[in-house]
Amino acid sequence: MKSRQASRKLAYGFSFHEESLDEENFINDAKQQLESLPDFNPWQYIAEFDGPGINDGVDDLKADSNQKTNLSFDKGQKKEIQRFLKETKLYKSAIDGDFGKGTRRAISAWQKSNKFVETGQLTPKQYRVLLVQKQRSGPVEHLNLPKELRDFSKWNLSQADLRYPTSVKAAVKHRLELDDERERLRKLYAEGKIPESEVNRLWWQRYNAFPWWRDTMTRTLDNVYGAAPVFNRFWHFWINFYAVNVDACEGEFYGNYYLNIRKNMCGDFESLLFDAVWHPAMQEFLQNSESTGPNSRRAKHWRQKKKHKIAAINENLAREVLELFTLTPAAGYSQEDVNGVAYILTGWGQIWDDDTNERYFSIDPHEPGNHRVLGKTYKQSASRKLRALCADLAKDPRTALHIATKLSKHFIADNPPSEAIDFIADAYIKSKGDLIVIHQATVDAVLKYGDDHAKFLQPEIWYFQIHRAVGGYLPLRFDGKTDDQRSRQVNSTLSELGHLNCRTPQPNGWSDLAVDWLTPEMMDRRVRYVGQLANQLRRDKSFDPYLYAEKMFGEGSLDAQYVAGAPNYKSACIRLFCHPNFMRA
Amino acid sequence: MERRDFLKGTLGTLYMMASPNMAFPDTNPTEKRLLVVLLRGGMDGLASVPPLGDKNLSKIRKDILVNGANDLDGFFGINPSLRFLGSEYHKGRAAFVHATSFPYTGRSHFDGQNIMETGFEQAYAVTSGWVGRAMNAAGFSSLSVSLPIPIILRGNAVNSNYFPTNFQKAGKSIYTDVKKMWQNDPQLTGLLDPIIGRQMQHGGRGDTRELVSFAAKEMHKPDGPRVGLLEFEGFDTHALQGNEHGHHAEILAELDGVLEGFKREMGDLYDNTVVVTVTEFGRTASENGTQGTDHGWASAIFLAGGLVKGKQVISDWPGLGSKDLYEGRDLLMTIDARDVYAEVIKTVFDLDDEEITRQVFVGYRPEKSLGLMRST
Repeated sequence: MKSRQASRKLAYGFSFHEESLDEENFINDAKQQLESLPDFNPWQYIAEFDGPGINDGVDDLKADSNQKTNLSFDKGQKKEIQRFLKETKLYKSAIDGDFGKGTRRAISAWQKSNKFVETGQLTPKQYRVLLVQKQRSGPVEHLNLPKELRDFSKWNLSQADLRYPTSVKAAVKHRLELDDERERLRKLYAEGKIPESEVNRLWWQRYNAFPWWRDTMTRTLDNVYGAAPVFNRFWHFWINFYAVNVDACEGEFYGNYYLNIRKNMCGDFESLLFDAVWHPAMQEFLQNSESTGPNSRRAKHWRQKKKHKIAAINENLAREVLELFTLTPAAGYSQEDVNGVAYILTGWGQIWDDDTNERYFSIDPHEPGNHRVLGKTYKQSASRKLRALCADLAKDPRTALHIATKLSKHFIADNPPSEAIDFIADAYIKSKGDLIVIHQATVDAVLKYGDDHAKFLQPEIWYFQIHRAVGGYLPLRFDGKTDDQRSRQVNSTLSELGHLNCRTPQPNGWSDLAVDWLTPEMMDRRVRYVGQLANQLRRDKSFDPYLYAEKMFGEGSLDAQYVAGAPNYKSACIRLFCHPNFMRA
Repeated sequence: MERRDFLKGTLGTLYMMASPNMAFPDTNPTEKRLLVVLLRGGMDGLASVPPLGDKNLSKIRKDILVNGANDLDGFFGINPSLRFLGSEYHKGRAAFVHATSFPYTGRSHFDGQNIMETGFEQAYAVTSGWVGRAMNAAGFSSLSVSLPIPIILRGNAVNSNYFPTNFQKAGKSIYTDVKKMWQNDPQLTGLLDPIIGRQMQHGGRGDTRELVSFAAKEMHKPDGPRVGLLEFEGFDTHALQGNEHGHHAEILAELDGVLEGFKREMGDLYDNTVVVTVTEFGRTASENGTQGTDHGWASAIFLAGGLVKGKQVISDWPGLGSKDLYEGRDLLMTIDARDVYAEVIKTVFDLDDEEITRQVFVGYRPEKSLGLMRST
């Protein structure tokens, strides 16, 4: 029972079929997840669960072998198949894109090992299984769904651009291309060549990447099916800590920004802070990218050219670096300190500049000279000051206290015991901001200080826990080239539940406090959503709310009996998922 | 540079209302209505109601200097995008207060918004809001047309909210079952009551003007809500603020259009209505390096409606010279915003000074009457 509760506090709960770990094993597993970056390849779950035969099982795939519908492949596809067969050591000849005897033999061998009838010819379903296997064995960085596999999608994914920008350079490039496209449309519109409606239509057509849709979906898949849900909860915590609204920064940066944060989670707080702050997503969200030092080269250039522009800083990001990311206003910093940070930040986020370093720092708008923050003078060279500042802010015990407080409020209680905060802050200080140590200390603090059902779950966490419990049933449909929120998508569902993560209203992220979520309308949405889901679950008969309630609340417990006493299936699902003790962890 | 403004909507909007508390239907009969408009992000009073008579204005602002402002009183002008409010002003149904704010100089959105909503001098001192406490004192319950219920409305006994959804409504027996399941839970009990009793079936997407007219219609009903709350985001204009055109002007025009629609829908009842704006702080007097403005202190408050003593800009103008500015950068506060809101609350909720000090702006006694309301 204890580990079940802990998995709900620290992860996304447990699925119906998951074996219960004893407490010690749970803690070991949780801590292990936090020790090194887990694989992140959410597309494998699309490959696995989407497409024809999603609920048909292997038997159906076997039956498919008898069908005579063979596929014709182009040369490129044939090469890919040969490459896969070679990787799996079934094929030894050249990758030439010609299906000769050798290839046929290899296909037969593959069919044999997958318990299909050996014909040497791939049927559509066999091809899909092959693609799924290929996807699983592919490198983690290539977080994309093969186009061929998308064509099998029953979720209509063939229209979705699922390119996941793992490199910031690629994300910036895509972003700049979109800028050009927008300029082109704007020009056509200004010249009266196309009406506004056409601008919008063409824009959505071009912009159908829906980056936020893709990012929500991948995180959803990994939370519901993946093997590192504890790690993912901490990831979610940091995404929200360094919140960026997809509307304000270009959605293109969003996925890369998420991965950028993720990649730092086994490092230290200083690097995480630095990497969040310089990233173009944050730079644009808090508008630092166009902040200009009054004595910078750019400012001088403007003055020489008599440009009608004021060269001055924009302190938006600087203020949040001190207020939200590190010290908090309780530290009592002054306007001069905010200005000092803003001067240090000038020059970052210059994605339009050709002459930058790999983190998009350019000397052009940077305010020259030494800058003072909190009594310390930063004398480093221009592009090194920010890192030095991050190091000092990360070292500050007030930052440790802030991080510990945020973690405790997120994982333990709205008003966490001060012992819990001290415990995590202590781990922070002793480890010098080592995030593995801090995260593991949070695990210990949750088990030590977290009372049962003390924490009201945010809609997103509640939602993922339900879907992990029922083993999927995610609304992943992609409804094409429109921003319509009404379609059945994870994004629109989370939006209706009041918690679409990428649309954080303000830079302080989504609230950890129950009082901000407990409104009649938001509670009504939860009831309605489970009602809708129950209709689906009932049809498939794959989820038993009574048995799940026993696993969750204990066999024969009052709460389990209460779920069992529901007048019908739908009611039982609602009694389970809207139970006060399911909505809390 | 305006790349992000062209194709995307900028407004997040929600609003809420207070209806007479059913438990005390006749304790405080009033026909008066209030619309509170939250302008989140820190509204630039110098761009919406520019002090044309201050010669420093054009020295410290260039790209964002508002051209073609319409004259109000010989000193102040009004941004041309506030067309409706400007014309209402000259008809005597709108007024402005300038160089006003809450007494908070910390320049943090989150502390500032907490103070503007709680009405306390320290952030996070209480969890209730000044409008919520005023409604409580007057015996109103509230209905918010939004998913969350902002702090400013919290603090009265019964809060409800509404926002159109596309989820299928659950059956009555389901709601009854859940209500029973939640009845002994201190946080969840009663939360579904307003849902169960609800007649409204207003599917849709939450378009601002649609919702405003819905709110106005509800407020128009004899037993309908007395207070509405409308929320605008996007006033945090650090970059590319624009002047009489561009981002800031567009949000002002959207606000202006929404208020015009509200007046139309309110009909005769508009004579008995006050519309008042609230923002967390004003912005720096000078333009910053990204054709915008940073967090400052004092701003302007807009008032409209038949209960407002219009055609006046109330201000004790501190000036824009660098020595006049707070810390050399922000417009100084010379009128405490609580004085403005206290007058509004006293008029609409029929509360007295004592109740304001005891329950609304706790411990604060407004120093002077500003004469913003018609005598009722």
